[in-house]
Amino acid sequence: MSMGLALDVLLIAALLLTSWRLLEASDLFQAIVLFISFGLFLSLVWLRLQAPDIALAEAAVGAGLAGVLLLGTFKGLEPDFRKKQEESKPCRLDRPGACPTRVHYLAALLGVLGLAGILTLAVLDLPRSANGLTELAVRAFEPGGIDHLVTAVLLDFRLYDTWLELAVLVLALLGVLGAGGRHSVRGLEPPWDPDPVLVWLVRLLIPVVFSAAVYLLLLGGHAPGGAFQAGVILASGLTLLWLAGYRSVTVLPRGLWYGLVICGFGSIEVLAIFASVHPETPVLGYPPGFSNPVILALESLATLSIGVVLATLTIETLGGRERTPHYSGKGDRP
Amino acid sequence: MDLFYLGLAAFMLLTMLVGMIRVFRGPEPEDRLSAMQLFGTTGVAVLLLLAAAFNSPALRNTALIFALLAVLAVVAFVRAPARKSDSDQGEKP
Amino acid sequence: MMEVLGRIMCLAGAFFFLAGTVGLLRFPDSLSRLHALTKADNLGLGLVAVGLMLTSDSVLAAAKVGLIWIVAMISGSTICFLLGRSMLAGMRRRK
Repeated sequence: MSMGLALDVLLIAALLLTSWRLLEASDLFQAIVLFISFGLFLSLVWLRLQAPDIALAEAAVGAGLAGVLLLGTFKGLEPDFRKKQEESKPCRLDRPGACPTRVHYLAALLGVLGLAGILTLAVLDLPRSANGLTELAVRAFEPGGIDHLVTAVLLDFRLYDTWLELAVLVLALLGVLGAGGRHSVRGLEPPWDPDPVLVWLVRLLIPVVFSAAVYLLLLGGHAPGGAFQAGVILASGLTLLWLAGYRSVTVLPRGLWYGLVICGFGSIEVLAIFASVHPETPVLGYPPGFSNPVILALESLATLSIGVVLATLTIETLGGRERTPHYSGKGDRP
Repeated sequence: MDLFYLGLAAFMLLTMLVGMIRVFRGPEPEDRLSAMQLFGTTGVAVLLLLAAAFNSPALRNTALIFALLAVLAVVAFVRAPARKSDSDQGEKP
Repeated sequence: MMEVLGRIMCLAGAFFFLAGTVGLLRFPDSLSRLHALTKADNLGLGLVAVGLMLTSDSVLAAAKVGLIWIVAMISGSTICFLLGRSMLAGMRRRK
Protein backbone atom coordinates (compact mmCIF):
# COMPACT_ATOMS: atom_id res chain seq x y z
CA MET A 1 0.00 0.00 0.00
CA SER A 2 1.74 3.10 -1.19
CA MET A 3 0.35 5.40 1.45
CA GLY A 4 1.84 3.19 4.12
CA LEU A 5 5.14 3.39 2.31
CA ALA A 6 4.88 7.18 2.21
CA LEU A 7 4.25 7.17 5.95
CA ASP A 8 7.27 4.98 6.56
CA VAL A 9 9.51 7.11 4.37
CA LEU A 10 8.46 10.21 6.27
CA LEU A 11 9.16 8.48 9.58
CA ILE A 12 12.60 7.42 8.43
CA ALA A 13 13.29 10.96 7.24
CA ALA A 14 12.15 12.29 10.61
CA LEU A 15 14.44 9.91 12.50
CA LEU A 16 17.44 10.71 10.34
CA LEU A 17 16.87 14.45 10.44
CA THR A 18 16.35 14.51 14.19
CA SER A 19 19.36 12.40 14.99
CA TRP A 20 21.63 14.30 12.63
CA ARG A 21 20.63 17.69 14.02
CA LEU A 22 20.81 16.29 17.51
CA LEU A 23 24.45 15.43 17.08
CA GLU A 24 25.21 18.69 15.32
CA ALA A 25 23.18 20.90 17.63
CA SER A 26 24.76 24.16 18.61
CA ASP A 27 23.73 23.95 22.23
CA LEU A 28 22.78 21.31 24.70
CA PHE A 29 19.20 22.45 25.23
CA GLN A 30 18.44 22.07 21.54
CA ALA A 31 19.91 18.60 21.72
CA ILE A 32 17.66 17.70 24.64
CA VAL A 33 14.52 18.88 22.84
CA LEU A 34 15.57 16.96 19.75
CA PHE A 35 16.20 13.87 21.86
CA ILE A 36 12.67 13.98 23.25
CA SER A 37 11.29 14.49 19.75
CA PHE A 38 13.38 11.55 18.59
CA GLY A 39 11.66 9.45 21.22
CA LEU A 40 8.27 10.48 19.86
CA PHE A 41 9.17 9.54 16.30
CA LEU A 42 10.75 6.31 17.46
CA SER A 43 7.53 5.36 19.21
CA LEU A 44 5.68 5.78 15.92
CA VAL A 45 8.28 3.65 14.20
CA TRP A 46 7.82 0.84 16.71
CA LEU A 47 4.13 0.89 15.95
CA ARG A 48 4.78 0.59 12.24
CA LEU A 49 7.04 -2.36 13.05
CA GLN A 50 4.11 -4.12 14.76
CA ALA A 51 5.55 -3.80 18.25
CA PRO A 52 2.94 -1.92 20.27
CA ASP A 53 4.38 -2.99 23.62
CA ILE A 54 7.68 -1.36 22.84
CA ALA A 55 5.91 1.68 21.39
CA LEU A 56 4.03 2.14 24.67
CA ALA A 57 7.22 1.85 26.68
CA GLU A 58 9.09 4.23 24.37
CA ALA A 59 6.28 6.79 24.53
CA ALA A 60 6.17 6.62 28.29
CA VAL A 61 9.91 6.75 28.90
CA GLY A 62 11.13 8.81 25.94
CA ALA A 63 8.42 11.42 25.91
CA GLY A 64 7.93 11.54 29.64
CA LEU A 65 10.55 10.55 32.15
CA ALA A 66 13.63 10.93 29.97
CA GLY A 67 12.63 14.52 29.28
CA VAL A 68 12.26 15.26 32.98
CA LEU A 69 15.60 13.67 33.83
CA LEU A 70 17.46 15.49 31.08
CA LEU A 71 15.89 18.88 31.73
CA GLY A 72 16.30 18.56 35.46
CA THR A 73 19.97 17.69 35.07
CA PHE A 74 20.51 20.40 32.50
CA LYS A 75 19.04 23.04 34.74
CA GLY A 76 21.60 22.07 37.32
CA LEU A 77 24.43 22.42 34.84
CA GLU A 78 23.33 25.61 33.22
CA PRO A 79 20.81 27.48 35.31
CA ASP A 80 20.20 30.18 32.75
CA PHE A 81 18.79 28.62 29.62
CA ARG A 82 19.08 31.90 27.82
CA LYS A 83 22.81 32.27 28.01
CA LYS A 84 24.02 32.47 24.46
CA GLN A 85 27.04 30.41 23.61
CA GLU A 86 29.79 33.02 23.79
CA GLU A 87 32.36 31.25 21.74
CA SER A 88 31.18 28.90 19.06
CA LYS A 89 32.48 25.56 20.13
CA PRO A 90 33.63 23.60 17.10
CA CYS A 91 32.63 20.35 18.72
CA ARG A 92 29.91 19.52 21.18
CA LEU A 93 32.30 18.11 23.76
CA ASP A 94 33.36 20.27 26.64
CA ARG A 95 37.07 20.00 26.17
CA PRO A 96 38.14 21.51 22.83
CA GLY A 97 41.09 19.14 22.57
CA ALA A 98 38.78 16.17 22.16
CA CYS A 99 37.45 17.06 18.73
CA PRO A 100 37.60 14.22 16.24
CA THR A 101 40.21 14.42 13.50
CA ARG A 102 40.26 13.10 9.98
CA VAL A 103 41.69 9.78 11.17
CA HIS A 104 38.73 9.31 13.49
CA TYR A 105 36.27 10.02 10.72
CA LEU A 106 38.03 7.58 8.41
CA ALA A 107 38.02 4.85 11.05
CA ALA A 108 34.35 5.45 11.75
CA LEU A 109 33.52 5.28 8.06
CA LEU A 110 35.36 1.99 7.67
CA GLY A 111 33.63 0.59 10.72
CA VAL A 112 30.20 1.61 9.45
CA LEU A 113 30.83 0.17 6.00
CA GLY A 114 32.14 -3.05 7.46
CA LEU A 115 29.15 -3.46 9.75
CA ALA A 116 26.72 -2.65 6.97
CA GLY A 117 28.41 -5.25 4.78
CA ILE A 118 28.21 -7.94 7.44
CA LEU A 119 24.55 -7.17 8.17
CA THR A 120 23.67 -7.27 4.48
CA LEU A 121 25.36 -10.63 4.10
CA ALA A 122 23.53 -11.95 7.15
CA VAL A 123 20.15 -10.80 5.85
CA LEU A 124 20.79 -12.27 2.41
CA ASP A 125 21.72 -15.52 4.10
CA LEU A 126 18.35 -15.97 5.81
CA PRO A 127 15.98 -18.64 4.44
CA ARG A 128 13.41 -17.09 2.18
CA SER A 129 10.18 -17.82 4.01
CA ALA A 130 11.01 -18.43 7.63
CA ASN A 131 8.74 -17.46 10.44
CA GLY A 132 11.62 -17.03 12.79
CA LEU A 133 10.95 -18.40 16.20
CA THR A 134 7.17 -18.20 15.85
CA GLU A 135 6.72 -21.96 15.48
CA LEU A 136 8.82 -22.71 18.51
CA ALA A 137 6.94 -20.10 20.51
CA VAL A 138 3.52 -21.33 19.48
CA ARG A 139 4.44 -24.92 20.21
CA ALA A 140 5.68 -24.14 23.68
CA PHE A 141 2.79 -21.81 24.44
CA GLU A 142 1.30 -23.06 27.67
CA PRO A 143 -2.46 -23.39 27.24
CA GLY A 144 -4.46 -21.42 29.77
CA GLY A 145 -1.64 -19.00 30.43
CA ILE A 146 -1.54 -15.57 28.88
CA ASP A 147 -3.58 -14.87 25.79
CA HIS A 148 -1.41 -12.33 24.05
CA LEU A 149 1.54 -13.98 22.41
CA VAL A 150 4.05 -11.15 22.82
CA THR A 151 3.27 -10.84 26.50
CA ALA A 152 3.36 -14.60 26.79
CA VAL A 153 6.81 -14.67 25.30
CA LEU A 154 7.84 -11.83 27.53
CA LEU A 155 6.55 -13.58 30.61
CA ASP A 156 6.74 -17.29 30.01
CA PHE A 157 10.12 -17.27 28.44
CA ARG A 158 11.56 -14.04 29.63
CA LEU A 159 10.20 -13.58 33.09
CA TYR A 160 13.74 -13.71 34.28
CA ASP A 161 14.56 -10.94 31.87
CA THR A 162 12.03 -8.78 33.70
CA TRP A 163 13.55 -9.94 36.95
CA LEU A 164 16.99 -8.83 35.93
CA GLU A 165 15.63 -5.55 34.51
CA LEU A 166 14.27 -4.86 37.96
CA ALA A 167 17.69 -5.62 39.38
CA VAL A 168 19.25 -3.14 36.95
CA LEU A 169 16.73 -0.50 37.98
CA VAL A 170 17.52 -0.98 41.65
CA LEU A 171 21.23 -0.76 40.94
CA ALA A 172 20.67 2.45 38.98
CA LEU A 173 18.74 3.82 41.93
CA LEU A 174 21.59 2.93 44.26
CA GLY A 175 23.95 4.76 41.95
CA VAL A 176 21.85 7.90 41.83
CA LEU A 177 21.28 7.93 45.57
CA GLY A 178 24.96 7.36 46.17
CA ALA A 179 25.86 10.27 43.90
CA GLY A 180 23.54 12.44 45.97
CA GLY A 181 24.98 11.14 49.19
CA ARG A 182 21.72 9.85 50.56
CA HIS A 183 20.28 6.60 51.85
CA SER A 184 16.74 7.40 50.91
CA VAL A 185 14.61 10.32 49.87
CA ARG A 186 12.48 10.28 52.97
CA GLY A 187 11.79 13.68 54.37
CA LEU A 188 12.66 15.68 51.28
CA GLU A 189 10.24 18.21 50.00
CA PRO A 190 9.93 19.82 46.59
CA PRO A 191 12.18 22.87 46.36
CA TRP A 192 9.70 25.19 44.72
CA ASP A 193 6.84 27.44 45.68
CA PRO A 194 3.30 26.13 45.35
CA ASP A 195 1.67 26.87 42.04
CA PRO A 196 -2.12 26.84 41.76
CA VAL A 197 -2.04 26.03 38.06
CA LEU A 198 -0.09 22.85 38.65
CA VAL A 199 -2.28 21.89 41.58
CA TRP A 200 -5.29 22.17 39.29
CA LEU A 201 -3.53 20.13 36.63
CA VAL A 202 -2.63 17.44 39.09
CA ARG A 203 -6.12 17.21 40.50
CA LEU A 204 -7.48 16.56 37.04
CA LEU A 205 -4.78 14.37 35.58
CA ILE A 206 -3.48 12.21 38.41
CA PRO A 207 -6.63 10.07 38.67
CA VAL A 208 -6.42 9.47 34.94
CA VAL A 209 -2.73 8.65 35.15
CA PHE A 210 -3.13 6.13 37.93
CA SER A 211 -6.19 4.58 36.28
CA ALA A 212 -4.23 4.29 33.05
CA ALA A 213 -1.46 2.48 34.91
CA VAL A 214 -3.87 -0.04 36.38
CA TYR A 215 -5.59 -0.39 33.02
CA LEU A 216 -2.35 -1.16 31.23
CA LEU A 217 -1.33 -3.60 33.94
CA LEU A 218 -4.56 -5.55 33.66
CA LEU A 219 -4.45 -5.31 29.90
CA GLY A 220 -1.03 -6.95 29.84
CA GLY A 221 -2.54 -10.39 30.01
CA HIS A 222 -4.11 -10.23 26.59
CA ALA A 223 -3.08 -7.04 24.82
CA PRO A 224 -0.08 -4.75 24.59
CA GLY A 225 0.71 -3.45 28.01
CA GLY A 226 2.07 -5.07 31.10
CA ALA A 227 4.19 -4.37 34.12
CA PHE A 228 6.89 -2.20 32.62
CA GLN A 229 4.56 0.21 30.84
CA ALA A 230 2.27 0.43 33.84
CA GLY A 231 5.26 0.99 36.11
CA VAL A 232 6.62 3.81 33.99
CA ILE A 233 3.22 5.51 33.95
CA LEU A 234 3.01 5.15 37.70
CA ALA A 235 6.44 6.71 38.04
CA SER A 236 5.40 9.56 35.75
CA GLY A 237 2.38 10.23 37.91
CA LEU A 238 4.49 10.28 41.08
CA THR A 239 6.97 12.63 39.38
CA LEU A 240 4.16 14.93 38.29
CA LEU A 241 2.96 15.08 41.88
CA TRP A 242 6.46 16.08 42.95
CA LEU A 243 6.70 18.74 40.25
CA ALA A 244 3.40 20.18 41.41
CA GLY A 245 4.69 20.46 44.95
CA TYR A 246 3.36 17.32 46.64
CA ARG A 247 5.78 15.10 48.50
CA SER A 248 4.85 12.00 46.57
CA VAL A 249 7.44 9.30 47.21
CA THR A 250 9.26 11.07 50.01
CA VAL A 251 6.29 10.81 52.32
CA LEU A 252 6.61 7.03 52.54
CA PRO A 253 8.07 5.65 55.74
CA ARG A 254 11.45 4.15 55.14
CA GLY A 255 10.43 0.53 55.69
CA LEU A 256 7.55 0.78 53.26
CA TRP A 257 9.75 2.45 50.68
CA TYR A 258 12.41 -0.26 50.96
CA GLY A 259 9.69 -2.85 50.65
CA LEU A 260 8.23 -1.33 47.52
CA VAL A 261 11.63 -0.98 45.90
CA ILE A 262 12.51 -4.60 46.55
CA CYS A 263 9.15 -6.35 46.19
CA GLY A 264 9.27 -6.69 42.41
CA PHE A 265 12.69 -8.25 42.32
CA GLY A 266 12.15 -10.17 45.52
CA SER A 267 8.88 -11.78 44.53
CA ILE A 268 10.28 -13.16 41.30
CA GLU A 269 13.27 -14.38 43.25
CA VAL A 270 10.90 -16.26 45.54
CA LEU A 271 9.19 -17.73 42.51
CA ALA A 272 12.52 -18.81 41.05
CA ILE A 273 13.55 -20.53 44.23
CA PHE A 274 10.15 -22.16 44.54
CA ALA A 275 10.29 -23.37 40.95
CA SER A 276 13.65 -24.96 41.44
CA VAL A 277 12.76 -26.88 44.61
CA HIS A 278 9.12 -27.75 44.02
CA PRO A 279 8.97 -31.10 42.24
CA GLU A 280 6.03 -30.40 39.94
CA THR A 281 7.05 -26.95 38.78
CA PRO A 282 9.35 -26.74 35.78
CA VAL A 283 12.53 -24.77 36.29
CA LEU A 284 11.93 -21.15 35.30
CA GLY A 285 8.20 -21.89 35.17
CA TYR A 286 5.06 -21.44 37.22
CA PRO A 287 3.27 -23.76 39.64
CA PRO A 288 0.94 -25.78 37.44
CA GLY A 289 -2.62 -24.56 37.54
CA PHE A 290 -1.71 -21.35 39.30
CA SER A 291 -0.01 -19.54 36.48
CA ASN A 292 -2.59 -16.80 35.96
CA PRO A 293 -2.90 -15.56 39.55
CA VAL A 294 0.83 -15.86 40.05
CA ILE A 295 1.53 -13.88 36.89
CA LEU A 296 -0.93 -11.16 37.87
CA ALA A 297 0.49 -10.93 41.37
CA LEU A 298 4.07 -10.77 40.13
CA GLU A 299 3.21 -8.19 37.50
CA SER A 300 1.46 -6.02 40.07
CA LEU A 301 4.43 -6.12 42.41
CA ALA A 302 6.78 -5.44 39.52
CA THR A 303 4.67 -2.45 38.53
CA LEU A 304 4.82 -1.01 42.03
CA SER A 305 8.55 -1.55 42.18
CA ILE A 306 9.24 0.00 38.81
CA GLY A 307 7.04 2.97 39.67
CA VAL A 308 8.63 3.68 43.03
CA VAL A 309 12.20 3.10 41.83
CA LEU A 310 11.89 5.33 38.77
CA ALA A 311 10.06 8.03 40.70
CA THR A 312 12.70 8.05 43.44
CA LEU A 313 15.45 8.19 40.84
CA THR A 314 13.82 11.12 39.08
CA ILE A 315 13.06 13.00 42.29
CA GLU A 316 16.63 12.58 43.46
CA THR A 317 17.86 13.92 40.12
CA LEU A 318 15.52 16.90 40.25
CA GLY A 319 16.70 17.67 43.74
CA GLY A 320 14.79 18.40 46.87
CA ARG A 321 15.38 20.27 50.05
CA GLU A 322 15.40 18.99 53.56
CA ARG A 323 12.19 19.46 55.42
CA THR A 324 12.38 22.62 57.42
CA PRO A 325 10.67 22.43 60.78
CA HIS A 326 7.51 24.42 60.71
CA TYR A 327 7.00 26.92 63.47
CA SER A 328 3.46 27.24 64.68
CA GLY A 329 1.83 30.60 65.28
CA LYS A 330 3.72 33.84 65.62
CA GLY A 331 6.77 33.85 67.80
CA ASP A 332 9.91 31.86 67.77
CA ARG A 333 9.16 28.75 69.66
CA PRO A 334 9.38 25.58 67.53
CA MET B 1 -11.32 4.57 4.34
CA ASP B 2 -8.01 3.10 5.25
CA LEU B 3 -6.28 5.18 2.68
CA PHE B 4 -7.93 8.37 3.83
CA TYR B 5 -6.75 8.06 7.42
CA LEU B 6 -3.32 6.88 6.41
CA GLY B 7 -3.02 9.79 4.02
CA LEU B 8 -4.02 12.28 6.70
CA ALA B 9 -1.54 10.72 9.10
CA ALA B 10 1.22 11.04 6.52
CA PHE B 11 0.24 14.67 5.96
CA MET B 12 0.46 15.44 9.66
CA LEU B 13 3.82 13.75 9.86
CA LEU B 14 4.91 16.08 7.11
CA THR B 15 3.80 19.09 9.15
CA MET B 16 5.80 17.73 12.06
CA LEU B 17 8.87 17.54 9.87
CA VAL B 18 8.36 21.10 8.73
CA GLY B 19 7.80 22.19 12.31
CA MET B 20 11.25 20.94 13.22
CA ILE B 21 12.63 24.09 11.68
CA ARG B 22 11.41 25.94 14.73
CA VAL B 23 13.41 23.58 16.96
CA PHE B 24 16.52 24.39 14.98
CA ARG B 25 15.94 28.13 14.79
CA GLY B 26 13.74 29.36 17.63
CA PRO B 27 15.94 31.75 19.51
CA GLU B 28 14.28 31.27 22.86
CA PRO B 29 14.21 27.90 24.61
CA GLU B 30 10.45 28.31 24.93
CA ASP B 31 10.22 28.36 21.13
CA ARG B 32 11.88 24.99 20.93
CA LEU B 33 9.57 23.68 23.62
CA SER B 34 6.55 25.03 21.76
CA ALA B 35 7.62 23.08 18.72
CA MET B 36 8.09 19.99 20.86
CA GLN B 37 4.63 20.44 22.30
CA LEU B 38 3.24 20.70 18.78
CA PHE B 39 4.96 17.42 17.94
CA GLY B 40 3.31 15.84 20.93
CA THR B 41 -0.19 16.94 19.96
CA THR B 42 0.34 16.13 16.31
CA GLY B 43 1.67 12.76 17.40
CA VAL B 44 -1.54 12.12 19.32
CA ALA B 45 -3.54 13.01 16.21
CA VAL B 46 -1.38 10.75 14.04
CA LEU B 47 -1.82 7.89 16.47
CA LEU B 48 -5.59 8.37 16.59
CA LEU B 49 -5.77 8.40 12.81
CA LEU B 50 -3.63 5.28 12.55
CA ALA B 51 -5.80 3.63 15.18
CA ALA B 52 -8.82 4.33 13.01
CA ALA B 53 -7.01 3.13 9.89
CA PHE B 54 -5.95 -0.19 11.42
CA ASN B 55 -8.76 -0.47 13.96
CA SER B 56 -6.32 -1.09 16.77
CA PRO B 57 -7.05 -0.25 20.40
CA ALA B 58 -3.37 -0.56 21.21
CA LEU B 59 -2.69 2.52 19.11
CA ARG B 60 -5.35 4.41 21.00
CA ASN B 61 -3.74 3.42 24.28
CA THR B 62 -0.44 4.76 23.01
CA ALA B 63 -2.20 8.01 22.09
CA LEU B 64 -3.52 8.22 25.65
CA ILE B 65 -0.02 7.81 27.03
CA PHE B 66 1.35 10.50 24.69
CA ALA B 67 -1.38 12.91 25.75
CA LEU B 68 -0.93 12.21 29.46
CA LEU B 69 2.83 12.43 29.62
CA ALA B 70 3.35 15.39 27.29
CA VAL B 71 3.04 17.70 30.28
CA LEU B 72 6.04 16.34 32.09
CA ALA B 73 8.91 17.80 30.08
CA VAL B 74 7.60 21.36 30.04
CA VAL B 75 6.69 21.30 33.72
CA ALA B 76 10.20 20.07 34.49
CA PHE B 77 11.65 22.93 32.44
CA VAL B 78 9.58 25.51 34.24
CA ARG B 79 10.09 24.13 37.69
CA ALA B 80 13.62 22.84 37.89
CA PRO B 81 15.30 25.03 40.49
CA ALA B 82 18.46 26.92 39.68
CA ARG B 83 21.35 25.60 41.70
CA LYS B 84 22.83 29.08 42.03
CA SER B 85 20.10 30.33 44.28
CA ASP B 86 21.25 33.94 44.41
CA SER B 87 20.85 34.98 40.78
CA ASP B 88 17.16 34.63 39.96
CA GLN B 89 15.36 34.64 43.22
CA GLY B 90 11.69 33.95 43.43
CA GLU B 91 10.54 34.97 40.01
CA LYS B 92 10.09 31.67 38.24
CA PRO B 93 8.38 29.16 40.51
CA MET C 1 -23.58 10.14 6.23
CA MET C 2 -21.76 10.10 9.53
CA GLU C 3 -18.79 8.77 7.66
CA VAL C 4 -18.67 11.76 5.34
CA LEU C 5 -19.18 14.24 8.16
CA GLY C 6 -16.46 12.56 10.18
CA ARG C 7 -14.02 12.71 7.34
CA ILE C 8 -14.74 16.36 6.69
CA MET C 9 -14.02 17.14 10.32
CA CYS C 10 -10.76 15.20 10.18
CA LEU C 11 -9.77 17.17 7.11
CA ALA C 12 -10.62 20.42 8.86
CA GLY C 13 -8.58 19.34 11.85
CA ALA C 14 -5.62 18.58 9.63
CA PHE C 15 -5.96 22.03 8.12
CA PHE C 16 -5.70 23.59 11.58
CA PHE C 17 -2.60 21.54 12.32
CA LEU C 18 -1.08 22.90 9.16
CA ALA C 19 -2.12 26.41 10.12
CA GLY C 20 -0.59 25.95 13.54
CA THR C 21 2.70 24.78 12.08
CA VAL C 22 2.82 27.61 9.57
CA GLY C 23 2.10 30.06 12.37
CA LEU C 24 4.82 28.51 14.50
CA LEU C 25 7.28 29.11 11.71
CA ARG C 26 6.20 32.48 10.41
CA PHE C 27 5.03 34.54 13.38
CA PRO C 28 7.59 37.11 14.44
CA ASP C 29 7.53 36.75 18.19
CA SER C 30 7.72 33.98 20.79
CA LEU C 31 4.37 34.82 22.30
CA SER C 32 2.55 34.98 18.98
CA ARG C 33 4.06 31.64 18.03
CA LEU C 34 2.56 30.24 21.20
CA HIS C 35 -0.79 31.59 20.03
CA ALA C 36 -0.44 29.62 16.81
CA LEU C 37 0.38 26.53 18.79
CA THR C 38 -2.84 26.69 20.77
CA LYS C 39 -4.89 26.71 17.59
CA ALA C 40 -3.43 23.41 16.55
CA ASP C 41 -3.76 22.03 20.05
CA ASN C 42 -7.40 22.87 20.57
CA LEU C 43 -9.08 23.16 17.20
CA GLY C 44 -6.88 20.78 15.30
CA LEU C 45 -7.00 17.90 17.70
CA GLY C 46 -10.61 18.67 18.62
CA LEU C 47 -11.87 18.44 15.07
CA VAL C 48 -9.89 15.28 14.39
CA ALA C 49 -11.14 13.73 17.61
CA VAL C 50 -14.78 14.59 16.96
CA GLY C 51 -14.45 13.35 13.39
CA LEU C 52 -13.04 10.05 14.61
CA MET C 53 -15.67 9.73 17.30
CA LEU C 54 -18.36 10.06 14.64
CA THR C 55 -16.90 7.31 12.50
CA SER C 56 -15.82 4.86 15.15
CA ASP C 57 -17.67 1.57 15.35
CA SER C 58 -17.70 0.99 19.07
CA VAL C 59 -18.85 3.21 21.89
CA LEU C 60 -15.82 2.27 23.94
CA ALA C 61 -13.45 3.43 21.22
CA ALA C 62 -15.31 6.71 20.83
CA ALA C 63 -15.26 7.25 24.58
CA LYS C 64 -11.53 6.61 24.64
CA VAL C 65 -10.96 9.14 21.86
CA GLY C 66 -13.06 11.63 23.79
CA LEU C 67 -11.03 11.03 26.93
CA ILE C 68 -7.79 11.48 25.01
CA TRP C 69 -9.08 14.77 23.63
CA ILE C 70 -10.00 16.06 27.06
CA VAL C 71 -6.66 15.03 28.53
CA ALA C 72 -4.84 16.68 25.62
CA MET C 73 -6.78 19.89 26.17
CA ILE C 74 -6.01 19.95 29.87
CA SER C 75 -2.31 19.32 29.42
CA GLY C 76 -2.08 21.52 26.33
CA SER C 77 -3.63 24.53 27.99
CA THR C 78 -1.43 24.12 31.05
CA ILE C 79 1.72 23.81 28.95
CA CYS C 80 0.91 26.88 26.89
CA PHE C 81 0.19 28.89 30.01
CA LEU C 82 3.44 27.78 31.64
CA LEU C 83 5.43 28.55 28.50
CA GLY C 84 3.80 31.97 28.22
CA ARG C 85 4.60 32.79 31.84
CA SER C 86 8.18 31.67 31.36
CA MET C 87 8.51 33.84 28.26
CA LEU C 88 7.19 36.87 30.13
CA ALA C 89 9.58 36.27 32.98
CA GLY C 90 12.43 36.07 30.50
CA MET C 91 11.39 39.29 28.80
CA ARG C 92 11.04 41.09 32.11
CA ARG C 93 14.47 39.94 33.20
CA ARG C 94 16.09 41.17 30.05
CA LYS C 95 14.81 44.72 30.44
